[in-house]
Amino acid sequence: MNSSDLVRIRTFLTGVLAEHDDHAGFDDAESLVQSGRLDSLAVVKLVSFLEADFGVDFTRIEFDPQRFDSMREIAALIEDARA
Amino acid sequence: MNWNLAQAVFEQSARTPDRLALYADGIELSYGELSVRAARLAGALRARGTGRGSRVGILGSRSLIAVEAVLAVTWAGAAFVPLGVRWPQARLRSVLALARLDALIVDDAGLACLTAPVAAEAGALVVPSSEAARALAPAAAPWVLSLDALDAGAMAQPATLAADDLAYLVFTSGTTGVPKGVLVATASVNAYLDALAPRKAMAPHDRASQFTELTFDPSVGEIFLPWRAGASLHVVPALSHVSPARFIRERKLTVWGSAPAAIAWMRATRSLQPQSLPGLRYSSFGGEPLPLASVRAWQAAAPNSVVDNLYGPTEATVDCAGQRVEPGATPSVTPGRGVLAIGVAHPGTRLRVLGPDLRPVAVGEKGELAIAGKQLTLGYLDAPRLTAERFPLIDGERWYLTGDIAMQDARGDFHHLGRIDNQVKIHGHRVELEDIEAHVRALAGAEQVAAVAWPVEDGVARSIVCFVANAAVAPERIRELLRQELPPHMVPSAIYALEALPRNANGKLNRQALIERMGTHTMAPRIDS
Repeated sequence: MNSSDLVRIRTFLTGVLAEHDDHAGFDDAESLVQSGRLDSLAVVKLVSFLEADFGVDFTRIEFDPQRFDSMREIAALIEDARA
Repeated sequence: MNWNLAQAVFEQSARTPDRLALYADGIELSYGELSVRAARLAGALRARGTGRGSRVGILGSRSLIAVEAVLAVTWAGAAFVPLGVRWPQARLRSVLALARLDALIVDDAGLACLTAPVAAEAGALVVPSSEAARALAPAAAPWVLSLDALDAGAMAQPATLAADDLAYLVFTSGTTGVPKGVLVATASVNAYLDALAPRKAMAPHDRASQFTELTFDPSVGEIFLPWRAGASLHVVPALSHVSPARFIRERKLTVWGSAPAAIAWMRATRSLQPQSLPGLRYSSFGGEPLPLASVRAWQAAAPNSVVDNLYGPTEATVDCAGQRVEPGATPSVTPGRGVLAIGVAHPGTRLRVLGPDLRPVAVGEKGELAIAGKQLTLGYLDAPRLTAERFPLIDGERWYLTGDIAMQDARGDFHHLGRIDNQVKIHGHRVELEDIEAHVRALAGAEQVAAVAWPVEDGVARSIVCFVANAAVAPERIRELLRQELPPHMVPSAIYALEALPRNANGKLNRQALIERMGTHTMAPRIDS
């Protein structure tokens, strides 16, 4: 995964958090779903984003909520989907 | 007879102490363990004067502590008052001021909401750990109790309660956004549980979900019905909320309940595959209209499951009507709406469709849905006028006026057609937003559709705008088709495609967020029409 991909994911997540007036920032390993910062709606948006922008096919890899919890896990999910 | 809801758990724990009762936060508790823990906290509350007649808040979310607290407060004989960890601080403080709690129990998520102004309104505090208690030491609370330092006293039986003792006090937001407290007596809850028990027909081997936040009253049935039957309760963690399919399989659940939005979320994450949930035998959905397309997707994924569409306002204790669809059967659908009929009243409840004169209207005609029977609650906290207005005596009997528009068909099924509050006048015509949504839903091939009046100037709606998620048809094409079907005043001035619709923590559509979204220019570029 190159750094521009990571920037795109971070920009997307920052935008979703900003919609909830959450401007606190986050590190790559920080929990975003378990911690309650991203709700179900935000995860649905994230799924659409990963399908459209990264070509992740969720009909092929099973949806696992654990893999959406942090930047790091999302990046690993995309890597696996590309492999 | 003891009307205390905890009595059934106490008796169950004597019969089958080793059987699984609760799974939450990765921990399994047997009936024996759960009862000891609940009785211990109940004992500590009662030793501090908190029991029958007291109110105890629970500020928590889907945790072991929160679910145990419901049982412990009930065991002590007090009424529990659920509070939301995702509520804004202003709402939390206004609800606390109204509720006048004797004590507040917080879990770890609740602890994060416990700012000094919130703690000042809360009364005595029960916190997860001694460490948390020390951090709160300067708070003005009369006493602070930590859950990790309770005395292991003798196991006391649940406090004896009468039929009219309060079981819980739950706050609904209403359309004005001002919180209203609904007072629910033990008799109403028992009537509700008695009505629902045969529908779910739970047995000790059943494994049931606990999906709903405590602030949304279906949680009461989710928690107490399995425990009455000696079955086990599995609290769905926050992480699994958007797509509980994996959790349902891993926990081997047989009974499911949620808002219909959960089906849409699971479809959006591609996790509702055909035959993927064969272990479920009963699934209920409530809180919002249930789209036929959602039911078909659920029936394909869970082919062995009953689908029960439950309807009811908080004021008549959780749900008081429903349509039960056997596995593979075709449901009764509301004409022209693409959503399931709400079916018939639970035993002990009666439904009527009333005209403006409070007389029943004819079969097939629209009116306001009214409810009578054993599930009616005591009414609103500190609001006798509102209570008298919404719970009028008609022919000497107490009814609740729901504010829902309904119709009864010739077969006897009731159909929910919308909220009276969602009737808007456009250019002099009365329009139900739900009616427009139904047309868009059918044309767009989308489950999730929301119409709002916008802009509203001086209380007059100028036009209607519509939002769709996952539509199979482009918004401009939907408008073209609508123009062929509907009178001009019902055609939305704009239709926006979104990835998903805004919902509150319980999956209920948040129309206000859509209106706010229209009003802020910063959001406009994010809308891809």
